[in-house]
Amino acid sequence: MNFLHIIDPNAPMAMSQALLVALTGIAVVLLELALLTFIIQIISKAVRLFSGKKKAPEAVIPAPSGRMDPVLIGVDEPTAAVIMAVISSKSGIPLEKLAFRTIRILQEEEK
Amino acid sequence: MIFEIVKGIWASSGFAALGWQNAVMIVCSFVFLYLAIVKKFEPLLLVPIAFGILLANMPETGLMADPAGLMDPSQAVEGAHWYNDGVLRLIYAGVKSSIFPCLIFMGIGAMTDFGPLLANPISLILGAAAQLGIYVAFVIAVALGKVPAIGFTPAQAASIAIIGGADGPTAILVASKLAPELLGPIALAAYSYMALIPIIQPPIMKMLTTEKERKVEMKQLRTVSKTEKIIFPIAVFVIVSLLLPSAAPLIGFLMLGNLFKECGVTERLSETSQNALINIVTIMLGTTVGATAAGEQFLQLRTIAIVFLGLTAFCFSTAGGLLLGKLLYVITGGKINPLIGSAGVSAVPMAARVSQTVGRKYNSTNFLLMHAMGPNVAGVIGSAVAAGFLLLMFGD
Repeated sequence: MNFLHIIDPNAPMAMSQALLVALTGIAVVLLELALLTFIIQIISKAVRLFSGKKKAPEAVIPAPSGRMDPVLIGVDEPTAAVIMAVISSKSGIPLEKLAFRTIRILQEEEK
Repeated sequence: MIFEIVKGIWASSGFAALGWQNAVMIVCSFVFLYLAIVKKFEPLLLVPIAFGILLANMPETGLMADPAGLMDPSQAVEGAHWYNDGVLRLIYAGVKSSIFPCLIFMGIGAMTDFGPLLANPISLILGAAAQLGIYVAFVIAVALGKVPAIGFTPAQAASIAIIGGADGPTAILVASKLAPELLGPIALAAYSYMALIPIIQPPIMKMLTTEKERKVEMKQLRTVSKTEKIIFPIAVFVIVSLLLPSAAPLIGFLMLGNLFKECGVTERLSETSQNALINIVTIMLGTTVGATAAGEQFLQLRTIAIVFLGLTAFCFSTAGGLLLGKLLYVITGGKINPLIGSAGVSAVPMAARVSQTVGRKYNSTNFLLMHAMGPNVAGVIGSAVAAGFLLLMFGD
């Protein structure tokens, strides 16, 4: 299926037609992803309904609350955020219960 | 006789055949190598791309020669076989056939955690809104097409516009299908702007949001089960492919890679997809895409127009995500920080890091990174859907 009978991809296009294509395009992306949003919500609800509340958290996605304020040495803030989020996720301990004092990159001689 | 030999050696050397366009492109390749190695601008891609430019612009090397007419039958030389083509031309078949972009998408899928997206599905809408720049750039490109020196066709305009998706493999796939003659400048613009996201986005974020909005702290994301993570790639592929089959190659490989990662029984495949395979393909893709930037095709007014349109597309995509973020901020009564909207431009994870950095600047206790990862990975899906739409409209 193609639209060659409506649009010639190699011939000059009228601005009105270009605007129409652009509006249709953004509408298609929005509608398709909105549909996916809806379907994901249904899947999530169905999965949670079937699995009940018996299961322990398998993949906690932490959103650090920021109560800790570690000293960063040789590490930028986004990297430090990732490190803290990963430690929280892997250990299963909520971030608000973890305290990070220092995050320091090892120097060559320290390795 | 000696004079004749020396004269012959000179005549057959690259110096004698070096045109000014090739010389300029060789200098450009040095600049890109500098940016990649010293400034660390997307080095994993910019180094092979820059070296590809260098390789393709060395005269008389025949690295991109096509005597067999594999890419352009009009260049075919009678009696030539496929193996007579230049080595880069042969590898380029992987770009032209979409094999490389799809394999890279598989690697990206194997590296991507869709957990934040599943925990907050509204992120998908932010990822969709951040494709706005694609369509704005398309309209401007069509308008610029009326300028005789530029003269973009609708298919070329669509290929340029996809730069706004901030997704290198998607841009390469669309350009290789719709406007292969523009592949070099489009790929370079896409990767250059992706590297410049930390410079491009913050002023737009500041301009379109209030200080109060930037300070919003979002609540912790919910737990996502393994089952949800396994069902997600299968469901997304089935739905997107049924609705828009032209998006199936990109979405299909993205979700296959993600299924390798999440299903728990294909660790070796996941490991290969996200490391060895993606690295091998990146080398071949980057080098051959760079090799399409031959001087005589690259040094045109059109290239400047592509650079301008690419920047426009990036800015409008960022604005699209932010504006929808603001709308969600209002609808949810201030529970969503609009800054995460700008991460919807794809470019994983750099755009999410920018949201985190800007958010922290205004509220030192704010950690938006995981929240921004949702729109960020949604942007990958959004740009693939947008690419599928453009291929459907302008492909044959």
